[in-house]
Amino acid sequence: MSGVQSSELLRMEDVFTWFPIKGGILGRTQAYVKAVDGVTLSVRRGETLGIVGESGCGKTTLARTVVRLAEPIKGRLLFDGTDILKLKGGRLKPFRRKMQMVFQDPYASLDPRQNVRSALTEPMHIHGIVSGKNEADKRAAELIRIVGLNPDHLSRFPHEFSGGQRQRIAVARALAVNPEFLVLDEPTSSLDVSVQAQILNLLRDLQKELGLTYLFISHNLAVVRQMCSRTGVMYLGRVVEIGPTESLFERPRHPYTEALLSSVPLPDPTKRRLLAPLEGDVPSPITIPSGCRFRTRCGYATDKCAEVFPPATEVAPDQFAECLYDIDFAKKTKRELPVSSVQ
Amino acid sequence: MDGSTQDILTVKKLQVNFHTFAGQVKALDGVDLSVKRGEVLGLVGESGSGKSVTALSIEGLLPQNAEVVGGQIILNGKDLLTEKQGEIRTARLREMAMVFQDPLTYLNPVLTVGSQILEILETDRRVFTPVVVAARLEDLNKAAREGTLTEKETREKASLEALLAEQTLGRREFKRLAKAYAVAILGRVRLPEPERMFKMYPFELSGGMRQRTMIAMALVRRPALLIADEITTALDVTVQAQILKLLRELKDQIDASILLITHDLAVVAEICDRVAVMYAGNIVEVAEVGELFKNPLHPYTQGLLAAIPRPDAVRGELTSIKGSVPNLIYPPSGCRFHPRCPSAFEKCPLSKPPLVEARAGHYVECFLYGG
Amino acid sequence: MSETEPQIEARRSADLRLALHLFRKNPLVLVGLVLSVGSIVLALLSPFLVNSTSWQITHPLLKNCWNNPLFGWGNSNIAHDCSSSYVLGTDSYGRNLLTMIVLAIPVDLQIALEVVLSAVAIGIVFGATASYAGGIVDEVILRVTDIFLAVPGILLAIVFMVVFGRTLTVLTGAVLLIWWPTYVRLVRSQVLSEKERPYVESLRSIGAGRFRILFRHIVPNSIYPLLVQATLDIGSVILTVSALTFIGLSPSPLLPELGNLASLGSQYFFTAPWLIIFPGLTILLISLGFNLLGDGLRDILDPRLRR
Repeated sequence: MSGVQSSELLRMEDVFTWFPIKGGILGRTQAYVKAVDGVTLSVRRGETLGIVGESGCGKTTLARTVVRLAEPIKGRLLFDGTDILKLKGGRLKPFRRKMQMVFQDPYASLDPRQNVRSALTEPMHIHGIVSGKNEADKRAAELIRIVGLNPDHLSRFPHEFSGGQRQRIAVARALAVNPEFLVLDEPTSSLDVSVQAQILNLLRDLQKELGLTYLFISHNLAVVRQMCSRTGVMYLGRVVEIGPTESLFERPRHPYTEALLSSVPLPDPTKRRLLAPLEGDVPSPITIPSGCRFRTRCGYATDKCAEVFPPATEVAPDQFAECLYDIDFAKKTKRELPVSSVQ
Repeated sequence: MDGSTQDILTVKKLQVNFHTFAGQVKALDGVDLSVKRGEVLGLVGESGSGKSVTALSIEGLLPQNAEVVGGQIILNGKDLLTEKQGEIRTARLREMAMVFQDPLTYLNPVLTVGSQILEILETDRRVFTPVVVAARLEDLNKAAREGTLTEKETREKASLEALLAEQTLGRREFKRLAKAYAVAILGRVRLPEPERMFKMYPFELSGGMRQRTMIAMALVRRPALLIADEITTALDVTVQAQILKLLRELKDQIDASILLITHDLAVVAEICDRVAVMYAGNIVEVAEVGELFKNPLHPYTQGLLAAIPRPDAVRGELTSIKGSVPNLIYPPSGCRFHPRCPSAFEKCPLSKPPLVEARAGHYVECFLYGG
Repeated sequence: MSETEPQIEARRSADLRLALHLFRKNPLVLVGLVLSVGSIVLALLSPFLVNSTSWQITHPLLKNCWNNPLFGWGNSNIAHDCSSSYVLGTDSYGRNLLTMIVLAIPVDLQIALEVVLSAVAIGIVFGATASYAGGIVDEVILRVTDIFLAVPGILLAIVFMVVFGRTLTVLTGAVLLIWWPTYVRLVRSQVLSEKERPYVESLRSIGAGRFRILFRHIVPNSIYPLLVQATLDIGSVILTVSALTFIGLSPSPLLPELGNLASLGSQYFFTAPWLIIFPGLTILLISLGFNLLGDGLRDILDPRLRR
């Protein structure tokens, strides 16, 4: 989105990932779940891009689309300049090696019958980055140390570990093939707070040491604020606002971002707020409202919002919002944005 | 922490063990807790801290393999562990109600919301007769004050007042009043169109609406104590904010104490009056909410507060507590936190520290503060 | 940072203790274990215990010999040379019934094992293919199993043997015809549910190919229910084989096979009841043994009972 094209590691252009709903005797497609509904964004080398949103907003599908676990119906997905959506099988494999994913639930994302050593060496063998068993074992021992566990743990099975330890193993496995890019899908949401901090610190240290780029998916705004250099906010399949984390959290431009931020309870009894700015629930991703998809819950919506699809507008340096208005949330006033600033 | 009469619930030295194949899990190790009338007490802890076991003990819902080894649970003057079964049941039914994390597990999928509420009322008609009559009378009295009472309603009012004295009510009459009462409660938890909600099935409701329904089902009993067990954990932030807002409103409207069980200190900070922090089967610290966040005394509480990432400020390195929650089959000796504690000293592994009042109203279970 | 060693040890020993506990809770498993393992041991030892060609030698003079006061049946023998050295008497060909039973057990067990193992192999190949390929392949495989499941099994086997002749191989094939569809369906449903588990997705993200995921991860993870079913079915296969030979589909009337032995004895039910009782009892004990063992295995291996 910004002019610095060369620093982009991953770029999504107009990506749509829809899932058909089949029904009737003939099994015809009756409708689509529009999980990702036209996302354009880029992840810059070495940064952590956070994606936040509520359940059902499509953030996990976005992550799965990036690592090619979900097939988009259209769009372009450029990794280091190559459109990987056009690649298949053997030609895709080198790209699979470069991007790895860490999943939400460390209890379920490891094969229960595979010991840690085998879980760590399997990806090495798949991608042929080691020449033999000895080298693989040596590398496994090194990996397990990098994530803060003990080489003695290699012969153990997943159920013998606690949640935090399992997530460390999952991270180690993702690192086994020397990736450049990690997709972290809610990596700490099933962990306790005290352990969460351990994993977040580990991820940060690894990023620094290995020069990794992260796409960090989370529903937890506080965690995203700590971890990410830029943040995108998803609502009903679209990134409605994206920008540098600091300015997005300090001065949100999209009314949804603002509502989301002011809904988060603060661990500080002197700052009680809980205005609960949003009524009702997220609409179904099958029948998305016309125009601006947030208008049904937005306190600032006008008739125009139902008719005009709001384009992404650069509202502040490097910060883009899909809203027709420039809203002052404190004064509750709004001003229509000039069309010229449209990207 | 004496069991004074202003407490609706007092838990004293509660010890609960679980018998498992791996051995005895010493889940609760002498829990002391009291909920004052009208307050919201937050019970926080990570997984395995025993907060849910404490709730289940109070609710009488401990699984088969659990054993209460010792202690007392006094609900409004009645000891729930020693009284007769019938007495305990009525006490629980009249004084206390629960809301759980996952409403779908507790709602019957094939019955409408309304019929499930009516069922609660009808199974104990004797208990609920005065409640539904009083609710209707309240409406009528309000109408009377406003002068909008019709002649029919005046007659109804007189007969209901008589009924209230006798405490008997015909089945149909009870049902009519119960329905009106249930709809009123659904409205009170801010469900839109309560009359329509009354006829809906749980699957037709969204997550937030289901949780509101559960709260309504708890409130129909007019409990003196509402136990809310992780009620917002499964909800999204915007819906969580709605539910917490509702709880805050209800707290002022209903005359009930709330025991809010959660793992999220931010939720506690938003709506609780006092907080009790649990770790590995012990209450390690109890204080007013402002005091606890400003001035945490126990090393565990300090570590926990430092570990929470905040949405309103960036910190450099996140502090974490080393290690993980201990296996309670082999709990650490003495203070159960000592293997993870940065300020542990010789005394800590030797004996269990007592709960001492370190500052006014601020109790802590740690040798750093005496004992 | 990590859990302490005693804790990990505790988790390990908990698993073991749970298995032992379930064993103790269900003493019938022990009975099953003794019976099934006993029969297998007996089968393995049978070449050393008895002359393995003795079934071909008949002694017309020793027909239906019985002189065992313990059971009180009279000696219905027409011949003279009866002695109590024939503990279970002799059959209508004058052969020692005990020797015949000892010779028959390995025959039956071998057929049962062949049938069950082939069925498991067919089940894994076709079941896994069906569930993983999906679409038309799945549909075709399912409909074929439907056809086989729709026809009564025994009838199918009878027709098969009538067409292809009465040999041991055909008998094995006939029984396999009854069993394979169940395994295809079992494996298919196992793989389908296993495929949805998150670790499969995480393997895909690593870049693991379909075959690797299917045969290195999914199939090994669905092996327990298969093991239980196979154990249960050994008993049932023995019953079916015996039923087929009992109604006269034995390759040879002399063949030491439990159903065939019982069939021979059935003609002398009133005069020499031991001839049907002892082979029948052997069938009962072996199939009961494997059934109890299978039931017990299910209890022990079922993850739902674990937490």
